[in-house]
Amino acid sequence: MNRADPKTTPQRTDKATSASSTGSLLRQRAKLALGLAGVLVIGSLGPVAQAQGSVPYSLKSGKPYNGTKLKFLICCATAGQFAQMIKLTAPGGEFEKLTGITVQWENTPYESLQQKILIEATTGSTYDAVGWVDSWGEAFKQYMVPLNDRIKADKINLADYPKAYIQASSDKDGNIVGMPFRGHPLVLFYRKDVLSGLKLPVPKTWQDVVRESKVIQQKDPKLSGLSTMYKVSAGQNLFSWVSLLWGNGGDILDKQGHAVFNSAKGMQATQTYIDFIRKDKITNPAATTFAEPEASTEFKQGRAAMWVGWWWYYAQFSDPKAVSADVLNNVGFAPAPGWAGGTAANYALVWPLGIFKNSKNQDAAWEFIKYVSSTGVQQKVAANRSIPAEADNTIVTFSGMNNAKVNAANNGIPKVGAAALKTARALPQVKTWAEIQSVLEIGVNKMASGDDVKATLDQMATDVDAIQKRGGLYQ
Amino acid sequence: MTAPQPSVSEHGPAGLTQQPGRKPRQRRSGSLRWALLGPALAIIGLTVIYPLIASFISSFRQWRLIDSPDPGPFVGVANYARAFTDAGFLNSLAVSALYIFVSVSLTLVLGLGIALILQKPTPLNVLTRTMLIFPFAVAPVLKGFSWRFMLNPEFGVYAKMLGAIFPPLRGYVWLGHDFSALLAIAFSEIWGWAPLFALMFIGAIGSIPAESTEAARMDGATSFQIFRKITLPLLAPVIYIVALLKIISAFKMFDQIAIMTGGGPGDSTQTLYYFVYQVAFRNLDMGYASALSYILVVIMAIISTFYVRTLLKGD
Repeated sequence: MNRADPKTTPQRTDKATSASSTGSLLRQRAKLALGLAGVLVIGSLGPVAQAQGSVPYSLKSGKPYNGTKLKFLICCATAGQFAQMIKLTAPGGEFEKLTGITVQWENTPYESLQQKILIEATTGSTYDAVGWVDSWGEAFKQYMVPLNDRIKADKINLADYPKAYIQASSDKDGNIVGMPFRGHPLVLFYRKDVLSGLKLPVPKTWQDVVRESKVIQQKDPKLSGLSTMYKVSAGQNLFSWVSLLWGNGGDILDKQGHAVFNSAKGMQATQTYIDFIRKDKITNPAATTFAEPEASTEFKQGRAAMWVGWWWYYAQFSDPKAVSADVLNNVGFAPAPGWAGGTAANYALVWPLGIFKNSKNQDAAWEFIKYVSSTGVQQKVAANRSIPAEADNTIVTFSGMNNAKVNAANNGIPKVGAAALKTARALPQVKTWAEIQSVLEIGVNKMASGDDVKATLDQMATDVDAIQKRGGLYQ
Repeated sequence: MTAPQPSVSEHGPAGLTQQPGRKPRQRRSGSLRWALLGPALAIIGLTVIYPLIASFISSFRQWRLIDSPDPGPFVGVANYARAFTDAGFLNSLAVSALYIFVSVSLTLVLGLGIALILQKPTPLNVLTRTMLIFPFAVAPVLKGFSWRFMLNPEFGVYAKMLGAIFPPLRGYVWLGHDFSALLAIAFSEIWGWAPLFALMFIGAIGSIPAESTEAARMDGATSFQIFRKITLPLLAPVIYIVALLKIISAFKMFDQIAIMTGGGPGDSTQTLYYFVYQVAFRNLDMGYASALSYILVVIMAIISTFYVRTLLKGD
């Protein structure tokens, strides 16, 4: 290194000039050239090292995947969060500027996404990355790249993600095969003006919900206490049911995969859920024909005082174009109710984002996943409400959910979500879930429409066990 | 300018051997025929014949997409046997049968009623007849959305009208009860089909010889007697044909169920088509769904055979 020192170099050149030997001069010049080259190499490493520290979101510096075009299999491009992220990862967007990678979002209809993922995972090579609903994952997790080593290498703090999200994104052997990308806790939305007008506290349990709903309806018979949904529609009538079931200490399946929701605790929780419409009458009698859109519309149009649903609905509830005047600015939120004397086991849903094993661009796909699942990008998106149609409070990390700017932009709902997600659980990760869900949602609808709860639950359990046997989970 | 008619000998093998000079032309014509038909046959082969054969083979295999994208081992007739012990399948058969009975009988009665009202060619009737075709032109999915909206107990126009006429039905949840939900779906279909049938019946009534009804009237027959003893028997072949057509259509009912009830309440409106869809595209059980589809094909083939034979017989 001393040979390259600029202070010593002139002295050595002078010595060479005083010598008369040509060979010696050449040797000296060669050394000088090598020394200068060394200076240049070492000098050039400085900015690279600096760049490594400055590239955000744990992305690799130097754009090693420059020019790579990724194909990303996903649905629902109209979701506010996706709409914003599509822009960020499109040609000319922030992600391309940082990495040189562009991403094509393949917006597949929700109805056919699961089938497309299954086919692609096993036989295709069209897509590099994919996002899925956690309950679908068990059928194709074996075809996804394990991410543990990459997560470790990039020092991604998994403790910042809700446990339910990580568990739902992992396979049976504990390999993480997806990074949480979009996730939701169930939240209780309520009318602040209605509760405060009657001096009612925000319900903490389902029993509180029933009690307060009755008070609300007594005061205003045109207003339902709670808007619910019992219709058979993609498992939506199970959202509140699992919350009640888990809260009361029941479960859907045991560790071996047997149906256990017809246990005494399951029976009690289900009876409570069905009584909302049949005995307590705290919900619209037409709720047997309501799915999520109808149930949320009841709340939006001021016909119900409370609704339990995904937190992303808050963007709609605060949109002047989407809600009636009496609802606007009167929507409060709290973690979904628990069971009186039981645990508050909230139901969480997550969209993990993974890499297909047959992708030829796995490293570039990992850069993309790091980017969109990072707290920084998620915060940026959740805090941006400049375009109302793209406003979305969804965020997957606790640090993001507790971020002041994000909470200021979303009136504090991210913090409430963080509280709910601390004790949240995801649906069972079994590959037969689609069939099981079908049995459960039809059963719930039958009970809400008048069928006997105990007999129906027992029949549902028998049917689920038959599915599990057919699926080879046990003999 | 009359085109020369080819002689019989030119078509048969004997004619060809007798006139060897025509052979190349015949060959060319045959090649051209295949060249023209080829693309159509290839498309039909790929889109109809191949899937039919492939799904028939799949119906004897265990094949669940959640296990593998490739069909699994052959299981004989296990998928077919499973169908007849599957409560879901048996329920969907019963629902389909009930739905067909309700929708076909009501469509025929209403269609015939409309035809009798509009049979005289007055200017108003002619205008009304023209407008009758419109409901049939509405897409089934749109019918489903419209009827779901109109039957909403809170703001649906039909629900409100029925509640006003029959006060006990005020606030009744039409899509929330087994039979009324099925009836609602049936009416969403009858709304389109009954006017179409009315047009067919008007045509058929017009072809009944006026002498028959005139003679009956002169003999002192009442309008009802004329209808029962003359019009109805003479309309019977047409009624039979359109009834078969409607049975086939009712059997295929899917769109309104998906939109209006999702198969509910419970599974009370889950027809066979909807059940097969559920098994194939929700449960992803392709082997079983293929078997169910072939059971459906057999049922449809029986009905279609009756239909086609009746049409060909011309009575």
